[in-house]
Amino acid sequence: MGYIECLDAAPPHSAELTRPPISSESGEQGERLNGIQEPELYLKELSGLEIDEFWRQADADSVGLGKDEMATVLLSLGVKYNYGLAPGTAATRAQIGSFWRTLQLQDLALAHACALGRDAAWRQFIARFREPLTQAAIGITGSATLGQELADSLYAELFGLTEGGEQRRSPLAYYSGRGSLKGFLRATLAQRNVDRHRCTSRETPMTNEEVAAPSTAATPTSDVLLRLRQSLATTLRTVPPEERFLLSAWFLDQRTLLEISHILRVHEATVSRRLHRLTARLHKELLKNMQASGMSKAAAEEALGTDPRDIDINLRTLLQVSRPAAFLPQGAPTDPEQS
Amino acid sequence: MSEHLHPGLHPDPDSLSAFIEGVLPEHERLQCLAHLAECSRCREVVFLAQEPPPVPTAANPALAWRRWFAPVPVLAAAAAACIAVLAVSWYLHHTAAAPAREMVARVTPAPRVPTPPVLAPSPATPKARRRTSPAPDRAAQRPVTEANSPGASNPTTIMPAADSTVSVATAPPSLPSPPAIHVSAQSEIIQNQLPPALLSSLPLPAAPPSVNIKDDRASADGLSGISGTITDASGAAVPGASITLRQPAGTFSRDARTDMAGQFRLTGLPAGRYELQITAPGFQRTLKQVELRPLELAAVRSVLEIGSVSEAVEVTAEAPALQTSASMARAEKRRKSVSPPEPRPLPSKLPATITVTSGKVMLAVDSNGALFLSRNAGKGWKSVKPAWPGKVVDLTTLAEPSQTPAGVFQLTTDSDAAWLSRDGNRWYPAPPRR
Repeated sequence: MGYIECLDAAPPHSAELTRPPISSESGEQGERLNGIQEPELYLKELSGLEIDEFWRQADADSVGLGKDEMATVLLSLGVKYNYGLAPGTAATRAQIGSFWRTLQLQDLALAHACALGRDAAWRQFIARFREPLTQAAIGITGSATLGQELADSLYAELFGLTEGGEQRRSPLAYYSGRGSLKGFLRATLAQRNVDRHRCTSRETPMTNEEVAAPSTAATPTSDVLLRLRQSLATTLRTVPPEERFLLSAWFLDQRTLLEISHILRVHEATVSRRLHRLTARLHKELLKNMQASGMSKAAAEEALGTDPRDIDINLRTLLQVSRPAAFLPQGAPTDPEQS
Repeated sequence: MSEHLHPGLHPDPDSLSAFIEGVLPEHERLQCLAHLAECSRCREVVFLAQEPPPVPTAANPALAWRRWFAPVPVLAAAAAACIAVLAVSWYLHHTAAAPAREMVARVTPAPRVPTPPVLAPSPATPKARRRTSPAPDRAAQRPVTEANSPGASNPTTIMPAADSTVSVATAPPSLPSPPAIHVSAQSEIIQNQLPPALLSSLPLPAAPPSVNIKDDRASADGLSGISGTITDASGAAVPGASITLRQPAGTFSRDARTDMAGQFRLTGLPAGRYELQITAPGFQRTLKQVELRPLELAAVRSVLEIGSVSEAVEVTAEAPALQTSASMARAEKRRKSVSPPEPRPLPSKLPATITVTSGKVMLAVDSNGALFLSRNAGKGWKSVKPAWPGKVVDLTTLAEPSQTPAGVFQLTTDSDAAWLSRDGNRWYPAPPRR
């Protein structure tokens, strides 16, 4: 299978190759390749890079992945993620080589060989990941039966079962090699589990929850509530993404400091300090915004001290109101579920 | 896949796993965080997809109880070290103070030995057997004269070095072999009281002057020498004591001071009779008379008494006792606490020739024949207005109850007139003797 054939067989990346947003500064000359339009010429121009070296490092031959296929995968990944650079930034040859060197080349070759249906790759994949995948599924579901069922369903999906006569692509084809293949499989398992749970949660009978008695305290007027809601929305919009994630994970998901600290890769004491500072700063800014809207300081403080049960403000909605239209990184292909 | 919610709106598992593993570029990470802040579904996926934390393995019970006793060896070693230090210090304290009096009492005369040119023994082995060349002209034991300072009451033994504690195994007259000199040193007495292990660990004193005479001029020039150790009653060394050695005729005089170990040494002395004076602040002055013979090195060991004139001087040829040097500060403190206050000088600035004490009342006559009175044991003096003509030449107390009441002072003038007083201030002519 040659370059072009491989590109044709990899529809997620073929479209982007017609407009490569890269530049190739060959050392002193700094020659740019942004004007290249033809994929063949583009690949030929990049053939001087260390494709052969990467192919050997990935041990792609042992999984039945050819050199051309490996080059196609690397090129398509580079185009998809702009070689790890911000969108619109032209990549130099050094940046291209650096991006490829940071990839998990062996996992990448194995995943894409499996996606292409190579037997040697599947044998190796099963030998390496069958047991970890099952254990991860059991850990995610919290049940051996459900975990085994989840792992088996993912196996079938990864193998690329046909559904309705159509050739279904393996999710392994979307593995980029930036993270580990094991992490990719865990994330896929978790995503499938969450989606399944959300689908079936509608069938869960409602529990008889006691409704809290309405408070006898004086409820704020609708005008005060409106100002409070507006001030809250204004304040939350100014919060950086990481702090908004912190607020959501802590207040909405009731995650522990340890769980959040693992995600943010900081110490849990740091998470605690950040939360404390963030809430104090939000309180100040909220007061300031409410005063800016025409309320006195005493009235603003009184409005902030209102019983939350009397406030018809959905913090979850406010925090998540600015949901983006889609999570589409630069040149990102659509999820297989979209198709 | 109908079961997947919000298709296309969420990051794919590849991005989420890269985010979890922290390998996303910063711009993608912020984009992912922004989405996660607003998408509970992806937050749930992210938290679920995390690698479970490693399960802490159960602690080994053997290690657990061993951890409790882990500090024991360290504490035991520290306690043993403390006990050892305390034992050594206690032992040193007691051995330094106890044998002081015993050393004075153990001085015994030995038969007279022909004094050969003494070879220097090893300082570390004071009991070493020394062989010296014989001195055939010294066969008879010569008596040693002693003379204490006025008022001294304790007996003192002063012996030339070769004569005192040096026992000589003299060979038969037919055999001219050199005599073997056994030095029964006081240091042996002290060292035998110490355990061998402790003895080996103790620092030995500096080479004693009495044995370190290899390079001494006394042996080379036919001159004599004298060395010694000055200690107080507790056995502590008295540093800074002034040593004055002079001939009674006043033709020769040498001075020395004791070092921090209380030792002194005078060499290059011509043979003859000497008067040795030892003075130290807070101690009684001690006077000795020593007779040095040619080629002799006399060893003097003097114990200074506090507030009294008693003394004990030992002259031996042996190695001095092991000096466990007490601190000078401690000795000074002891002296200050024990020694009585010395009388202040008289108002006339002349030396007192006669001093008489009765209770706290003290009378003194200076060299000019004037009488002075002190009611506080010499702390303050007051001149007594003389009711008698001439100078006072004698002053006594009449303590005999048969003659006069106790506490009566009597003075005699240069005209041989006697005057009496009860308080030392008011004087009356003595009744004529019958």
